[in-house]
Amino acid sequence: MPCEMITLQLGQCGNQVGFEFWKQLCLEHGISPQGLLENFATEGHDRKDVFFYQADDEHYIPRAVLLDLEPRVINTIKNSEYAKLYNPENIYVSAQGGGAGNNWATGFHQGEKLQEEIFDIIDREADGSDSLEGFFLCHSIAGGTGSGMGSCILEKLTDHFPKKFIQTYSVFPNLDEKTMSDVVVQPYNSILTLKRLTLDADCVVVLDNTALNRIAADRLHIQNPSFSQINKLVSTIMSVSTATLRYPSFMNNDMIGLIAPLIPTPRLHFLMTGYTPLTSDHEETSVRKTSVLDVMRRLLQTKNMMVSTAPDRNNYHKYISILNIIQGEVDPTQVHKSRQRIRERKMVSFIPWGPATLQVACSRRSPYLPSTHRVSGLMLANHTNISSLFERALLQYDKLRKREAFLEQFRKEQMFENNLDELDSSRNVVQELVDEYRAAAGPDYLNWGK
Amino acid sequence: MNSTYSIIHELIFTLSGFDSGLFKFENGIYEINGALPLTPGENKLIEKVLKIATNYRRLKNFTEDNCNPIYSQSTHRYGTNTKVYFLALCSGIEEVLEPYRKAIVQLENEILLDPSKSIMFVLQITEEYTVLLHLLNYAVDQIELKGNDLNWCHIMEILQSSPCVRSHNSEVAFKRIQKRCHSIFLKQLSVWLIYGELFDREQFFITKDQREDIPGEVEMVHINSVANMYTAYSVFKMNPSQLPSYIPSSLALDILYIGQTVVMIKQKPSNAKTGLYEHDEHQDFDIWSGKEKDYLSELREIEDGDTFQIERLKLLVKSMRQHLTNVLWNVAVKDADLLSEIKTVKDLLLLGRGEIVSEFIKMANPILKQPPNTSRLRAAQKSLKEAICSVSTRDEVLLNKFIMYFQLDCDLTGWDCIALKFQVKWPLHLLFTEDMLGKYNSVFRLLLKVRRAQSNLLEVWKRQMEDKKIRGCEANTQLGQLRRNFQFVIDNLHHYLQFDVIEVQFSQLIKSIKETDSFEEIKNFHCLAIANILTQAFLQTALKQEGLVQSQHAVMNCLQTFLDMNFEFCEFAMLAIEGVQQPSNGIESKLCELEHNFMSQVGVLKNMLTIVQCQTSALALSQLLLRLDVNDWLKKNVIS
Repeated sequence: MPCEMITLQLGQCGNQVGFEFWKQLCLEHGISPQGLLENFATEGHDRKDVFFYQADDEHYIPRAVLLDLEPRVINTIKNSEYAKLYNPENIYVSAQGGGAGNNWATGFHQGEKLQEEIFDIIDREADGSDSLEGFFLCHSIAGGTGSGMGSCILEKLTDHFPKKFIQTYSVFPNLDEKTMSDVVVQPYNSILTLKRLTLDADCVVVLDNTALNRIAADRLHIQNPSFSQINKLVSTIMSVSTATLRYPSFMNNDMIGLIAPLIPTPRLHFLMTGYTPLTSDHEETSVRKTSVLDVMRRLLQTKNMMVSTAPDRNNYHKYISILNIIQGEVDPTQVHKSRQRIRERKMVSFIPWGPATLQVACSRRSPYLPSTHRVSGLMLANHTNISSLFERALLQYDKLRKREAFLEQFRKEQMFENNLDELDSSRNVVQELVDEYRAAAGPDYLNWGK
Repeated sequence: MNSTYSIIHELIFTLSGFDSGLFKFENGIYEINGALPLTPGENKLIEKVLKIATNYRRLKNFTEDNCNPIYSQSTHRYGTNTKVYFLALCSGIEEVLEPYRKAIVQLENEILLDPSKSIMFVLQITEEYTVLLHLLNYAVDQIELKGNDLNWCHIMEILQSSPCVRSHNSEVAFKRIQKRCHSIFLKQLSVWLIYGELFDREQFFITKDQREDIPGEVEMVHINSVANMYTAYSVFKMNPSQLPSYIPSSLALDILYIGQTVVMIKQKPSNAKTGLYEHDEHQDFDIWSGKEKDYLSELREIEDGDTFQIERLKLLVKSMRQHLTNVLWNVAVKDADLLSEIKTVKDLLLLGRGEIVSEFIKMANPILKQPPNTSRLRAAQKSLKEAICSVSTRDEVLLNKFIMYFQLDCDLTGWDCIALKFQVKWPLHLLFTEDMLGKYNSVFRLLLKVRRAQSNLLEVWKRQMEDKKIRGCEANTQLGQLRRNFQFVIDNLHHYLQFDVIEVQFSQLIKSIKETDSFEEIKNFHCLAIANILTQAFLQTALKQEGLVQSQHAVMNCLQTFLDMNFEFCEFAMLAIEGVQQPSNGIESKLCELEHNFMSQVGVLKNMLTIVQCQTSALALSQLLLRLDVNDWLKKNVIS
């Protein structure tokens, strides 16, 4: 079975997001919470083997590794009806159980200590697949485990599997002034993690809590969205972004084929997402007439983007690449017409230094889930304005760093014992990333850095 | 008085077609034997009567010569081929001569009663038949002129074209003869139409091709190919020389089609599910669903009519054809599950299942990049099967559906001549004919080439991504950019072919199939869809319109150049990335050369873009170019 992906979920956020993701995949493929193939799902033409392996004829097990330094979230999973879905050997909670105290350095250090045990699990899982394509990593960049241990695992993964593709689904913290996270060292954590995401991941799907909360409030009319409501949005993005692998058609049958056209140069691999139309559970579920053009147009609107970029008043920023994954009843001729319309009305502006286009992939939907919309779409886009998100992170980092605030916990760990060079080098890498993204919006990008 | 009486007597004898003392039949005409004691006026009258007698005698000889069963078997001049029609013709002539013979008997009786009747009276009675006898003789002459070349069609034509207009009698008579002949024709026709059998295969406008084993030009891996085992449609042919001109060729083609279809349906495999050929004579498929009685009686009525009712035959044939095409529709769409078979063919031949294709390319590339031979063919076929198995264990159906072969008209690499033959369920071989599959295969090879180019580019991308930690190596940036440009062109070409062309055409095709109930229409829709795909994929190089062929060639050349350059680039890029630590001058100059070539092809594309904007007709090309030029990069960045 070619092109298998192993999903690593780290920390509180990573495991919550992962939990929702697997729930969604089970529903889409007709797999019960116990991992058994439902009777109605035996004739499917889907590919379950990308994300699941078969223990026997009816029994499917996720290629998932669940890692955490404290047992709370994993216990919730173990006590849910999905408890029997996972391979128990793939669930690892640090024996110490104390967590990472929301500190990147603690998480990273713990990761180093536990790496042997963790890689035993990952290696076993990798050996169990015929031709592994790569890894998904779900985590948050703000806390301690997902960011710190996540960074450690990411570095080691690249060394350990140099030929494998690594994509992360990285949750960025909510930077809304009102609901600011209570993790004071979050700016440090973010910058340190961003360095690893820049240097060690092949693709980062940015899931921005600020934008997700805004979308929940504005689009779904939920005033105080819960974690699980937000995570549901995330799991939708994750499942649709892998739909072309699971429901094969003529194109985008593996992650690299899907992602490579979106990533022009090695470091510019941070993708934004957008999804439309969004409906919440309590909304009425009548099927609506949404056209392909509606979907493609809405996906280009900033309010539907799941990343809270800074306003770009001078229209400086540009799209480097776009892939729309459209699901539902699509008349193929409509796609061409929509693209034509979008071009005529100049609804999208692309980088000037190379060819670019609005790519569209049509994918089937799960036959087992009722669809509330005739057509729905996910956009994966590489847009230079994602740099504003990193700039904001740098700004917050600089504020703290100037005051040398909250560094005691970091100094306790080996990496920061003698100096804070690692923080500075991380800041440099992120600054370079911002510069490169800004340069990519201009015409001279090809001469940048020469 | 007495002599006149005996002359009249002899004359009557002559008029019945016998020799007499006074009048001798020599060299094909009756002549007066010696001088008769008559006035010159009477002599003239006698000559007139003799002319009638001559005409009758010749007809009598003709029918006797040709129709006497004992007589004709050995000495028949026209071979046995035309025999049935000849018999019909002769008996027809005999029949229409009957009134004449009766008139002669009547004449004789009257003369016996009244010996004073004159020669004038004889002439008066017989003159009525002059025209008919003359025309019949004229027809017989023409028939005899044909000699050995004569066929039934000539007979019909000659009868049809006789100038009977001036004489009602002769018109009726000729119609009667024609009817005799047509009744033979209609019998043949009904056997052919209802049962698909050839009654007298020499004397029908439909013939069977005797060469049944036409050697295939392809090398097969398996011998158990289903496709060749059905009697192909092409076995039956129309023979225009046997087709009378009053039967329009459209009607004749319909008749051909009906019989062919009946033959084909009769070969329905007894186990339609396996699709394997097991011809079973006893288990007959109810082709006409009981309607054959109606059709036969209609044919009989046409046969019984005084004139040959071509319009009625046309109507009948039309309704039979309609019935058959509905039967076929049922068999194809319901029994043989046409839609899922179309999907299967599309999944493999038009690379609808991308995940199988990428595995296949990975596995088979080492084999197929070499020149083709039999063992490589086997290995490649095995790879394809393994690729199918690797993505799904449930696709056993797919496994036994295809046979790989090499089209041997090319000797470059396996990839250039790879082709698949499909074993579709009966009777879908009518849709997926060898010609059709050839067209599919030309798209198949183009798509494979595009997919191979893509997968090479992804390998380069993977290698380049490993350099995240090394910043700003100049050669790398340039290489990366060129890789990106190539990938852009190739990806868009791929999406264009698969989505804008194939998906669009197939969704249209499937929609049309669902809307019709006629197999014929399905066949036409399918032809149309494939023709459109070929045109829009710029593979239509064998068309009649010269302008189109030229533009197709130009676009295809440009795309092929892109693809070939891409292979060269990927090979170079992999080497360059490996050797990037020890930079050598070779790399840079080669890179510049590749970049230059790429840009000049982009220039070619740009020129096409300008041309396309001038003419709105090149829709397909404009669609491809729109994909490539969303951000006006093509227009701005060209070495002019």
